[in-house]
Amino acid sequence: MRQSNPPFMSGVPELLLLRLLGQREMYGYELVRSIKLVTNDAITLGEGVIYPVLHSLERNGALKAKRKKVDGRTRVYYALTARGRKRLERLHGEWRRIQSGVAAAMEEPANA
Amino acid sequence: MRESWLDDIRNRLQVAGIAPAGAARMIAELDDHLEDLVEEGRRLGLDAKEARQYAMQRLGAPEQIAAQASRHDELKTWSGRHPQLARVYLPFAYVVLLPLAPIFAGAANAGIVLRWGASLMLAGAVTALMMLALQLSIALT
Repeated sequence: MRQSNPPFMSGVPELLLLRLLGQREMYGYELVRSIKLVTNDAITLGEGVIYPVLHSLERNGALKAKRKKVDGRTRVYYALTARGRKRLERLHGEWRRIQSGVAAAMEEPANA
Repeated sequence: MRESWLDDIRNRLQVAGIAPAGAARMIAELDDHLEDLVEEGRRLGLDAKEARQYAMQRLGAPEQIAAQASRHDELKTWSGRHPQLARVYLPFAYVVLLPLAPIFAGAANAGIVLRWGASLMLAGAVTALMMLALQLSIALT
């Protein structure tokens, strides 16, 4: 079985969760499956750690949670709020900046 | 196995100072996720025991989940966010508030206190009327 990604992943789950919830509302298991799908299985989380992140985002007003009964089971669905959309835009901008910086560093000859 | 795994997380969340309502919902969501993963394991051809192990491995160790929760101060109670302050100041606060406990209890059960007060006044009025009647009957005889 594959190991979870190391600690440098900090912040990435939040970005992915906001991105996916920007498309439609989802519950925890569904979100983890979607992360695996959209990242081609490159990002493997200890799946339980998404719940503290989801609760924290909800507490900060970036997400709203709603209980729904589906097939006899009560699930908690999460949806992005307007504040969450702004947070996503900000995080996405930061991510692009870091990504281009790291890419530039990796392409330059290591003569610094 | 499932219950002890969930209990372990519940205890660790409590130690981390996570608010009880939030922790209870998180446990319910983890339990639901676990059930989904067990079903997934069964679809992959695992037997019941293997499927449970597969599910718990995928969800991660209880200490990993509690550690992630502990990073988010907004999920904690006041005493969870300021454990040192709580240890020093809460005992003093309890000593100051203890004499006020009957007032708080009365406010929390205002309906009962009002009914009890009204019954007491009614009983007092009936007793006073009976005493008056007794006095009148003595005076008239």
